[in-house]
Amino acid sequence: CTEDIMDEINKNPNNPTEVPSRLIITDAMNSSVVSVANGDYAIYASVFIEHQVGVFNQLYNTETRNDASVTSATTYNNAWVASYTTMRNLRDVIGKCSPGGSEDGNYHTLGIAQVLMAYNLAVVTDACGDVPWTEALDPTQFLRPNLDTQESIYEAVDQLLDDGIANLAKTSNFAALGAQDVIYGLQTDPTEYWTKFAYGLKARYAMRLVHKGKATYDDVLTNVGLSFASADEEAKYTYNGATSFNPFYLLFTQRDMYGSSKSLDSLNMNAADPRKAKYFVPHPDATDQVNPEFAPNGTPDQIQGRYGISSYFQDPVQTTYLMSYHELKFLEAEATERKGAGTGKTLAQAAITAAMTAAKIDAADITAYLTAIDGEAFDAKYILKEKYVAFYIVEPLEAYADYRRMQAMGEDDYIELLNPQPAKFPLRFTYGADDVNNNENVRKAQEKDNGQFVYTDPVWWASPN
Amino acid sequence: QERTVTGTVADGSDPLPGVTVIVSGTSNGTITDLDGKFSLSVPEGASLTFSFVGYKTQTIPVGTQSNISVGMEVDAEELDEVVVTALGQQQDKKSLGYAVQGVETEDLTRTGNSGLAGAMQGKISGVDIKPSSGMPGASTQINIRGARSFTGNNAPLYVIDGMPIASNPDFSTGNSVSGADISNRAVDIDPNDIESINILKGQAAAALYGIRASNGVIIINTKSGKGQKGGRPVVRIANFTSFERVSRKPEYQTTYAQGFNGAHAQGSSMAWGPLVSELPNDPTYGGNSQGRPGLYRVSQRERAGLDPWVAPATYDNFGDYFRTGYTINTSASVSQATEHANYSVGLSNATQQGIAPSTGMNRWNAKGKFDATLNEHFTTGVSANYVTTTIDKLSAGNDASLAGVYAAPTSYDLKGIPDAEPEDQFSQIYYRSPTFDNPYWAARNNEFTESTNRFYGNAYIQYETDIKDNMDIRFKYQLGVDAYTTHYQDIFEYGHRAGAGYMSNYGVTNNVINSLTTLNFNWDISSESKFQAILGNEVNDTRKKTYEQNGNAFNFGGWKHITNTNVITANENQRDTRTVGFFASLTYSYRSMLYLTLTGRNDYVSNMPRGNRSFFYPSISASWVVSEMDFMDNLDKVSLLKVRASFAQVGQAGDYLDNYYQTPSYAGGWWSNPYPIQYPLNINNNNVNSFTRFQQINDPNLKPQNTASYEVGADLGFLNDRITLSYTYSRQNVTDQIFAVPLAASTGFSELYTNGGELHTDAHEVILTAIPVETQNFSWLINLNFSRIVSKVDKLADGVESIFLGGFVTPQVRAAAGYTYPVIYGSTFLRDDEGRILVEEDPNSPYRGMPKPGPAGIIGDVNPDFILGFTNTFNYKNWSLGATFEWKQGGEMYSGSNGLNNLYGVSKVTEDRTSTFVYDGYLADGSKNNIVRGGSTDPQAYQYLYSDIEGNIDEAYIYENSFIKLRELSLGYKFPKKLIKGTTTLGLSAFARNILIWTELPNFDPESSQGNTNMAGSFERFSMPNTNSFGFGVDITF
Repeated sequence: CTEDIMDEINKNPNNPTEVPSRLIITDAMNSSVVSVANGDYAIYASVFIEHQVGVFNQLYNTETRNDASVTSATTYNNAWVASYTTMRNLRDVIGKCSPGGSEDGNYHTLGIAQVLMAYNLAVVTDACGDVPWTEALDPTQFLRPNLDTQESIYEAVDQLLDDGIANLAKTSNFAALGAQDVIYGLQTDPTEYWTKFAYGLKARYAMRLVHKGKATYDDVLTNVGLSFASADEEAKYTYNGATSFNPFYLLFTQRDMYGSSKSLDSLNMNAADPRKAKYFVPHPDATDQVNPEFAPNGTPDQIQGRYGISSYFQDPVQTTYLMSYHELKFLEAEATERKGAGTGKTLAQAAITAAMTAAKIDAADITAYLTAIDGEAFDAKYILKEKYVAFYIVEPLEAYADYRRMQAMGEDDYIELLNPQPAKFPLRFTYGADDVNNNENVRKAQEKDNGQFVYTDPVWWASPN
Repeated sequence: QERTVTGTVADGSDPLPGVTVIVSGTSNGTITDLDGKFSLSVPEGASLTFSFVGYKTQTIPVGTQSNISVGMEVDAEELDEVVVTALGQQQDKKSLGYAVQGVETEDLTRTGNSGLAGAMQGKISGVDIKPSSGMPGASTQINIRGARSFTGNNAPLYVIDGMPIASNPDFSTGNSVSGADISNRAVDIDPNDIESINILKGQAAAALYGIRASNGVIIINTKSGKGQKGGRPVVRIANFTSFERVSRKPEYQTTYAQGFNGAHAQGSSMAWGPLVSELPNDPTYGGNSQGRPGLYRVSQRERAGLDPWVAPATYDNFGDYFRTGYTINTSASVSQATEHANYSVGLSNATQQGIAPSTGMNRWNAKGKFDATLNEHFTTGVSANYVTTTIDKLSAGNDASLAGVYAAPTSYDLKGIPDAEPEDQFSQIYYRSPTFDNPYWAARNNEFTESTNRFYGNAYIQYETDIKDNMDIRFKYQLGVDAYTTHYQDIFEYGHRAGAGYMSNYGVTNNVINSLTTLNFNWDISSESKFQAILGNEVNDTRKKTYEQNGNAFNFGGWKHITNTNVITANENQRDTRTVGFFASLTYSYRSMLYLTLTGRNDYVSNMPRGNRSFFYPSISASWVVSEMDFMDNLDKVSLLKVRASFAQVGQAGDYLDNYYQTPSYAGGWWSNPYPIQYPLNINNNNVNSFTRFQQINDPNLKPQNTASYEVGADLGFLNDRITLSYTYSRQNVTDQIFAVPLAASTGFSELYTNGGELHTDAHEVILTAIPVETQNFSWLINLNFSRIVSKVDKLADGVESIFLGGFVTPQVRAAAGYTYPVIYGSTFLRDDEGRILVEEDPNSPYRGMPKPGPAGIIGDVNPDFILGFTNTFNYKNWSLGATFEWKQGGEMYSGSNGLNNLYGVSKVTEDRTSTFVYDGYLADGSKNNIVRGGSTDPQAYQYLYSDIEGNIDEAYIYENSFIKLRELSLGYKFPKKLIKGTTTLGLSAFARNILIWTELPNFDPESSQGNTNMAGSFERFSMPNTNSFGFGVDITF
């Protein structure tokens, strides 16, 4: 048997060794949505910020701040792995579409990949602070990537967005992604939408960094102006309910670990808010099928089938947002208000209207609600409180980021949290076990105070100046 | 002057065909015919030498006789000395420089075990046999002299009638925390058809098999007609029937009812509720305030349409569920030896019904074996086996059918309350949320089956001739095939977990062709010095195809077919491999006293990267039979003294492919079926697919891993071998271990398939046999097998401390550097610098005075200190009594069922909820914990401890699992010969298996666990239970 015959026998008929970038980017989008935007970080952040109360198993342990759950590297490993796997696929696309790659000149796919990369990189650094980036995603060079500072990562995020915008503006001879682009692919000119999404992200991240002196409210407003003009343009994901499902729906049907949050209901939502009827519904197994029972934050009984749930958990095709139009409007309202006190109200009302529309509230009820809250201060704190309520559905990551930013700015009383162990409010997620076990650079970072650093060390942008 | 002498050779009254009759001192001779008769021309004054394998050779002077009748005597010693070694070579046991051990067919089949692995337990040293459970067809992991591969194959090669056959499972149970077990293909072997079994334990013994031999070899010869006396056809019919029961039943508390925090909660998975007797006082369910004094309302009964009001009671939910299983093994065979040919034809069936409903196995084996001597040069033969095996299983782990059987509150009547609504059989009624299915519902509706059709066999032709008086050669060509298809079905019926269910059809078609050419050369250089050479070539070509069809979400219940599902995905996978090996073996012996053997084999394998496909493996072994030395002649109490030593190198190839892309999957994490995304994805009527790089990358410079093994040993025989003692020490050093090195996720990949890591194994084996009493009517035989085997991981890849073998995120089973292999990893108790458990001191914490969780770490050592098998056999006239004990000392396992039964508050240890306790721990200042918990003012303390605290510390679920089992006990009676019409013999037996268990593991049988991989035996979580059995056998020969 010669080597050639052996090569022939060892050929892999089952899997390709090369595929075009358009087939790779599709999953990068899908995983950005279901494993990152709506993934485990979001599932746990919902508990931290008391959008939900963890009432069973893992989420009960998080709710009661059982250290075994909150400080261990295994708890958030799946989210950590999902972030880097998604970024690996984006890196693969970027490599193929860049000079020297097999699809050099495929600028639009390249631009989309860069925008998505910026999004994913920001999520993981928001979650964990300093994380591997410059040495990441290159196993032939770096088997144990070192950490980069969050400050430098935010520079990389901004650079990726600028590069993405530039590439999206170029002329490409490659075919458009079409249906392979599961976010905007079926729009007439997807590049325009992706560009607006990129500006939206620039606005979001500028807001994150204003108090660190790395951006201004004008930066926020400039980028808002270049972003979504209506809810039709927002970066959202539509599930089909047969082969794609909102993860919160699956989390309810397969795990059933959330209960309705007492603090959200009694302290942070206006009594007249028509969203309450959707946010809080009785559990289908509960004895009282009219009034949902609210779970006490931090001290629920560990039981399924008793506390209320959200009607969104029963919707298999509930939208997931990478960035919503209402978020953009809230950014605009906050930036404007912070530039000049009293100037944000109209914009905030627009933001609330957009959010309530997204929550499928009737126009009349929206008007009634706006009337009911007309006497509110509409200062930055109030705007953030409304944003916090609007983010309830599936945007806990940004709600968690806002809370930490407000902590850094000394304004974290904009909402009231009821967990009886405020000293154990997690300021960040632990690193993932797959790096802690196999990468001493990350292990060193994780070993600090036996994982207790998650309660004490804010991430860079959430630390006071 | 010559004359003709005729005669008859017989064993007792049976004529003996095939006996060699030679004129002493010449090569002139003949063999006896079918009637044991011979006729030979003899010179004056000569003697005749009669020889036959297995009989004492006799020399008889002819004198003046013209007709000689000779009675041959069985030579027990001689029989023992010929052993089958690599590639079917028959060797004098004395000549071997390494350990081999055989098991007699009688010892294998004494208690009618339908599985070979179970039948070998306790009877061989150096071998660890780990059954996963007592479920019919359950997988078993067999490791000879420990492990050589972290994550790869550690199971021995099976060779049946000279043909290597597949014995491993075709599908791994993966993480082994969900789904049903998947059998090993060794399940197809019928122990009743085994004539002899020889285990080549060390690498030197197996070296001629090359790359497949690093894990040892189990050589099986099936029954044939060879050597059968009398020339008549012999018919044997045997039946073994046994009845199985759960080997161990857990103890439950029967004081407290379902619920938590002391309150009754219907729907809760816990039994931390009120006193059972207090249920009628419950504010919601109690009858005392609702005009039904002494009763309480059970909402599940209401759903089932029964009277909801019942008096509080407790139920034996565990005992109610299991039934008495049975095993019926029936075999029939016909065999015959004629002057030039022999054959054996057999048919057998094993039918098993498991102790858990809807488990069972049915296996048919049909076999034919034929050998013929064509003339003095040519021999030919064929062996053909057909097997069909069907196995019905249940799921375990996180899909466990038995979760509710093990952990239901005793206050709930699991059997008495129907498992589904009367109007809708797919709407389950259960005591808790449908995270698990009601076990009765699962048994009726879910299905896990596997069915195999298999053919294996081979044909050979052999030519032998003398070149000179003292030289002969033998050439043999054998072509074998092992071809089978297995179809699996896993069905979670509509209504599973209160959802729409899902199913999976998958399977494998595997075709293996094995071509073997050998040339033997024997040269008796002088009467004292002999030389033997073997040259050969082997080609092994495997073509395997697997398929998978997954269907998601049934439209409606009751029709469990994939066309009734809404989302169907399919996959198929083809894999061809070829190994070509050339080998040689040279043996020199001097005066039956000194033996030296050198072997070498070069393998070329397809499934390694180009340029790294050729490997050479050498071995050397030597044996010195000291007792053949002249000075030993005076020590007549010592009948054998032999020392031996060997060295060998054998490797294992990897399974290399170029890096590739695949369709991503979202299974795992939180998600069982359905998943957030499943490809192809329908988006606005477009079918969208995607490919991403496979999470594992392969090293293009992959080389084979290497096992270098040293073995030394000695064999001693006393009093004409009435007492024999054999000791072997071996050490294996495995380097360049091939495994998927876990990568930091930040590299974007999860594994790098490459060489790295080192493992070594030290093995001590002792075999002692003794015949303390032997008289004409009574004999007592002792056989003792001791093994101490320690595999230790010296090193993994750089920066890698441990790798995953199976389990959850935590706990899991791992290979960890610096530890024995394998270990259990999980969250620990927080300890101070002196290793003492620290307790919570915050007076406001509900957990004050209870242990705190520490970081994840190694929490359990699976490796036993030793395993001892001990068999006594007594024969009195026609009676025989045999007993085999097995003692496993040391080792630990993760016992999820024990831990969870505490967590749920159902286990007996949770019965005391009123006394105060001080947890045996320490405070941060180093003083002993003095925080008193429990008592009437602190009623929830035990629930906090077992449920919230220990439930989150995996180390709390680690248990020692040493055990002693009476593996086998059998009593047999053979009727005096020729019971019926002088031609029929009849044997009767009664037996028991796995009775009298003593074990350190509370509540459960330690031989019940998850996984058919290297994690076997170490990780249990609602796993299928093990069994004990009682039965009887009938054996008729005519």
